[in-house]
Amino acid sequence: MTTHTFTARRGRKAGPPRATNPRQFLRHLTLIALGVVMFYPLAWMLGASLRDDGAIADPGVWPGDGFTVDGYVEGWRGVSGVAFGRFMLNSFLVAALCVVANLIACSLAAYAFARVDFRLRRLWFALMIGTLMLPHHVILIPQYMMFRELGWIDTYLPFVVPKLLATDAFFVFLLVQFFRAIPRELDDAARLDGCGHLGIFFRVILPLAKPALATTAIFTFIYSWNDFFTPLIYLTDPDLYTVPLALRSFIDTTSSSAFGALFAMSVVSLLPVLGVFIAFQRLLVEGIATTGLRG
Amino acid sequence: MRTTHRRRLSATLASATATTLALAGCGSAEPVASTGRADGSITYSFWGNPARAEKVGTVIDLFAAAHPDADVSVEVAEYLNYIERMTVRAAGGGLSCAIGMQSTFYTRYAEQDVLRPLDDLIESGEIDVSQIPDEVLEAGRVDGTQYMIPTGTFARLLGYNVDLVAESGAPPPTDDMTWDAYADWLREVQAGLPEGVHATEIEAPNMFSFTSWVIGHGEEMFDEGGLAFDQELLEEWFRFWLDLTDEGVTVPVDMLAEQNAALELTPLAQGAAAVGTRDIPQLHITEQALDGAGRGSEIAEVSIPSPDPGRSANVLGTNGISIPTGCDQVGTAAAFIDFFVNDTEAALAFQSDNGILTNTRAQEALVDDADTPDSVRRNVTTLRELTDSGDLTTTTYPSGLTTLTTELSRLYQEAAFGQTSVEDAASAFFTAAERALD
Repeated sequence: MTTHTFTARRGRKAGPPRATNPRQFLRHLTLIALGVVMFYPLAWMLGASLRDDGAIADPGVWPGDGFTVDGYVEGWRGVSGVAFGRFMLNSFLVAALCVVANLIACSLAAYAFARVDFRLRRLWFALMIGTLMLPHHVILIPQYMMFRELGWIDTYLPFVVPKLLATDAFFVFLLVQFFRAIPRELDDAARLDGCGHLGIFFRVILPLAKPALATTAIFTFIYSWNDFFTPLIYLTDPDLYTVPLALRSFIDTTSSSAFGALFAMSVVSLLPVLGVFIAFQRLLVEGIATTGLRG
Repeated sequence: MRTTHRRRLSATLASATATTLALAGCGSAEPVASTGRADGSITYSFWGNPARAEKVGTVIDLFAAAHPDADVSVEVAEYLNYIERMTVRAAGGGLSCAIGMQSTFYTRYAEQDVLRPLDDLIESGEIDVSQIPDEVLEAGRVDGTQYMIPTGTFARLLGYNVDLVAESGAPPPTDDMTWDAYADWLREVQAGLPEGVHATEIEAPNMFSFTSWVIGHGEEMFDEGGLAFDQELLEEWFRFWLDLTDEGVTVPVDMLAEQNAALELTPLAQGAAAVGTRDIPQLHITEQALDGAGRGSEIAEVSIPSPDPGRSANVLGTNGISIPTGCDQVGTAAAFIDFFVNDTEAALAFQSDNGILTNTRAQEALVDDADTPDSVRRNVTTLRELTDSGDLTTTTYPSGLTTLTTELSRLYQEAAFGQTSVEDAASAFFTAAERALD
């Protein structure tokens, strides 16, 4: 099979150049045009990060005469006397803790739903899925009161501890879908070899679920990195601010805004997410393709 | 261990329930009495940009030098995020000891006993308000009780692009225009403007402009029962702006998104409109944005039109600082507010960044100081002139104003896009008001 593929590719390369297919050409042209449209906001943001605050309404992507790196200098200085690098580190810490917590809790919960027979399993699963439809604002105030009573305000505990309780139903569902696709015969074989649930989970399921775990990790990282509301509510000390909170501090609708700094630091804060996505792109695509999340 | 956990969980749940009930019943905790000493740690929460945060930081450094035993940390957020966060924290009982407030939204917190009455602190002299005019101080009172100490005032005026108006060939606007005269003047301006530039932004969805319209017509916005004006007055307001839009005098309706965006992106700040209402300190920001857009011009200001030129429609708004009921460092919070309001050095450092200083002595110091930027001096001078000439008016805002502000904007847009009639839009606003102001 490998040889066949190899030959076909070589054959295609070695052959005479094919005549351009007009339909294919048109399709590529359309895709390129769509790509340009989708890339425009990013290109504009990059341009805006390199121009004067006053030229913020310029729709062009080229910085032009007002080219300046002041936005980067000013933005990196941060807000309230805290450098932007600190916010980046804070966001990294929060995102990393959330990733670890979600991987542990969601995979354990998903294993239970996929493999363990317990009473009312379907009902609990339906309730768990039901929490996806619960608007965030419904639980906001009770949650805030609980965390405040526990003395967790101005700490990262409200970000991480709920994740340790497998409250991200989306990821539990994603992993359940993946675990269900793993043949039960493998569990039976492991059980014959003396494995219990934990043994099956760690020795059979987890090694096979790498793509789904990677998808969970990447999405958790991106969600945590971009989360604005939780830090807004729970963090008061600027030393603890995460990137989205710091970015919003650059603007104010009632007075002047530091647009250059905002866009410059937006560019900087995109880089880690972009890096994570590029590094794990293959696993991410594989994970989505094998968990039934494809449209 | 299990019992301890269970106890802690039970305690937490009980506390959560109690707080929920307290909120539902609204207000229960007795305010903590002041020790009269500034020796605790507090956080001052406010809204603003990094520049304002820096100025507040300087004020806090000065405060720390004057009160070495006290410790003040800051917490800053963008205006809308600030209100969102405060709402959650007020409900959860986690407000900072000194919180930025505004006359437009503090009433609902005061009425629900989230804010601590400050009269005892004023009486004991911990907060000195002797240099704040009583009519300004009144803006921080609800039913005679002082809940907010005003630190800055702002008035919304008509800002106009001097170059664009001159280019149109129309005379500059005046302080004594009626709304009809204003509409005629706008038409004259529009006739002389180049294509793509409009005489004015659309004020119809702006609650503060509408407030000026109502007060100018000799009516009150709110009374005990809710809205205090007739539905017809709102219908007239909507029609006034819809007619001007139909004539091409205002920016197109689809530019309302830009109008509601950051100040620098509004049509007036981009040179796409010659006139728009702005708070006094925002006039200079608009000039800076015009400069940046390569369309530099002075933005001059005149009074808001009024059917009776003898009755001012320039509505005064106030920013201030409050202490929440749950604050346990009242002495430090009171000392900080007193310092913020009365210390001259603090006033010079803060430079009226969030409204023009309410302390008249501090105002004078700011105007006289050689380091004060011209724009700040101009803001202070403009407000003082309005005060001296009596061309200002005040109003009280009830809780529920935020809902009404959103509804006014939404319903006007529905009418402007032809999705509903003016009568239905106005009627829907009154229905919404019944619920919001209940």
